Amino acid sequence: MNNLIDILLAEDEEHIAKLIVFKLAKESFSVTVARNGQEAILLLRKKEWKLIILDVMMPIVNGWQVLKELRSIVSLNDIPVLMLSAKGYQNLEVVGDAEMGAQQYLKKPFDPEDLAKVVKRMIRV
Amino acid sequence: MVLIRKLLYNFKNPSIRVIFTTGVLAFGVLLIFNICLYYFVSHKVELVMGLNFIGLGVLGYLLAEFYLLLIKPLQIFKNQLREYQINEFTGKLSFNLTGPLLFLQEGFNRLIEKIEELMSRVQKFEESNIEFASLVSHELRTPLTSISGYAKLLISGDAGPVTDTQSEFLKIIDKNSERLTGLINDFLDIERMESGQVHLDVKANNLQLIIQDCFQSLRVIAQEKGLDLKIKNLDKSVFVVGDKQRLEQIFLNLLNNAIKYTHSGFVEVEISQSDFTAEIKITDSGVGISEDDQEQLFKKYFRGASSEQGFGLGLIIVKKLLHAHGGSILVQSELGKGSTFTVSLPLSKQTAQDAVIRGVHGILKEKYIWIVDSDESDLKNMQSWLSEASNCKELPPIKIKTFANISCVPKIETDNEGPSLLIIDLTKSVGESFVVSELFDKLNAPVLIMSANLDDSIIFSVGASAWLAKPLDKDKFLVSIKDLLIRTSWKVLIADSNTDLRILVKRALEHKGLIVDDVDRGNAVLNRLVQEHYDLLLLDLDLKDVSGLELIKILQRSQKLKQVPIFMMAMEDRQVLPDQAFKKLGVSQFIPKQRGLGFVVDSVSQHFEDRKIIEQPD
Repeated sequence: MNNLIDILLAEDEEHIAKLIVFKLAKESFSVTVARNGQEAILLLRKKEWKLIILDVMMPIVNGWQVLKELRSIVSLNDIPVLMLSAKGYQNLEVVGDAEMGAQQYLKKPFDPEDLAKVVKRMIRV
Repeated sequence: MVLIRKLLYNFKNPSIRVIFTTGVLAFGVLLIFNICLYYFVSHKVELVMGLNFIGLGVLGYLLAEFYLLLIKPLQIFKNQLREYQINEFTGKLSFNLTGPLLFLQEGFNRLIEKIEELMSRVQKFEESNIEFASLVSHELRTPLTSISGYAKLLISGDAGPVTDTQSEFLKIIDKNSERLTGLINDFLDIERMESGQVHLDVKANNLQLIIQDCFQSLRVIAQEKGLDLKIKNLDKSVFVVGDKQRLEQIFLNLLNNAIKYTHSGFVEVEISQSDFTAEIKITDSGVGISEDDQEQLFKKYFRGASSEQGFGLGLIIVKKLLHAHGGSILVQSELGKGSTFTVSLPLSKQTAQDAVIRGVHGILKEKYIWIVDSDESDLKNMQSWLSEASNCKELPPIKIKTFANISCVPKIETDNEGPSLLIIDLTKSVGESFVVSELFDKLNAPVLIMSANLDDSIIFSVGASAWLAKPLDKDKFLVSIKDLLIRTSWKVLIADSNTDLRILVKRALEHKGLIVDDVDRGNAVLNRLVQEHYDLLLLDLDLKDVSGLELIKILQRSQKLKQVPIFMMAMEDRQVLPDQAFKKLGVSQFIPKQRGLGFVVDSVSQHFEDRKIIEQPD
């Protein structure tokens, strides 16, 4: 089990989290779920994450705040981040904030297949 | 007599009338009081008379007070209001009233504050409306993510094998959740467009490619229905101006509808092009739209009575998007006989420039150019440059006549005798300014002035359309000539630091047949205005290097630049001065950017229509 790639997912919607975990497990990723932004921040240093997936709209601490926190920690600066959001208009929403360092943005609803592709591309496996 | 006439004249004045009637009434009351008193106080005339005097005194005093306290200040108030002595920045009254009228001033100012408050509440409401729409869409999309996500997961077989029937049913779930997602997106799109928050990434786009892309994604559905998808192309590519994704959205929507409402036959796209616009006709052999429905088609939340499925929000979006692109849409249809949707979009600059030149070629036989220059080598150069450009089709056909000096130029008596363009070297003609202006007066054509030593104020005072410094530069010379010769309409300069917006407005205005140049900073505005003639300046309030207001103040100092009418563009909340104050600065109109592209184009078109001297190609 040690060779599995660790991914941190912050998602408050239980069903969506389960869907993502299921799909990514099929692709041999080990996904740890944080139920909100606060939990995610606590988990940031717990493992060597290869990728962090953040839902934007979460209670207590939202995805952008987690990202900000993440980027303020120098040792974690290189971890790629994928943002998920149900907000936004068509596909024209400006993708994250370049300064914030979110490399990817996936709009909900998404095809689990697309998510897996994006994740694999971001980790380059 | 004079006194009576004066009195009668004054009687028209309401305040005098009030005093007069009050006086008469008081006198009447006094009289009755007197008579009563006379009887009650046992016929003592002296006492009654004495009381009378006191009464009159009191009455006089009251009248004086009445006038001083109420009538007079009221008059001042009225006059000042009429003269509009309202503070230009706050909209409040700012003169010092005393007495009861202080309340009036305070009340007025409170009213202004109330209006401001209401305005900002309306604005906040609009903002919160969008916020609300976006929140609702989030709430709807979250469960949809689960529905479609799990359906897709099951279909893919990731969660174990599914039977064909199960897979078919899951696909129905997936398809419908996608439809719902599409509707939510459309809904949000409309909300956004209505609040003017749509961002367009504007480029030149090959129309044929866009249509082919749309066909690609619709081919399967069309084949399933046994429909023939056809495209009638022009030989050459047609480029339109716009946001690629949005253009695709427009045509996907229209083609999707065409396929949806056609059960047999074909859906055909035909592309054609005129001087400034591309026209795309989408014709189908479908169920058609009744006349009543046609009128309602582009209205919000309309659903055709004859249609099995709603049109959804697609057509409203199409219309709004086209409007944002400076385009338009028309529908022709008959029930049972199919429909034709005709879309017009502005052509991109390169092709539009082509069209202008071709247009001139079409209408014109030849352009006559007169050149007045004492320098023979310059004359030779200019002649060869011009004929070269004409041969390369950069310029229309040209016939040149040269003159060594101004006195050789024949007198122009009628309109038809003159050239289409006069190029004249004024280096040695400073003393002959009278001859020059006499020549120009008779001339019904643009004039290009060249000089080695004149400053621009003199040049423009004689009425030149453009000028060039000597020694001549070939490229600059040809640009000026092109500019002057193929100038078929009004010329507009747009100054805006937002490139997307600037280009969008530019294209839309070009689409209207105007010639448009664009710059992004105040410095460039000045340079352009000095070098070339413009009929209108569209100025953004916030330029990169200087504020629009500062720039206007600079323009106001120049006799010539002052003449160029200015339209000021800005976000509504950036209207730092009331209209009145803008007018004083020489701004003909204030254009709130929120009103959108259509409004800008309409305002500019209206402006030129009002000026009513459209320079047609000769």
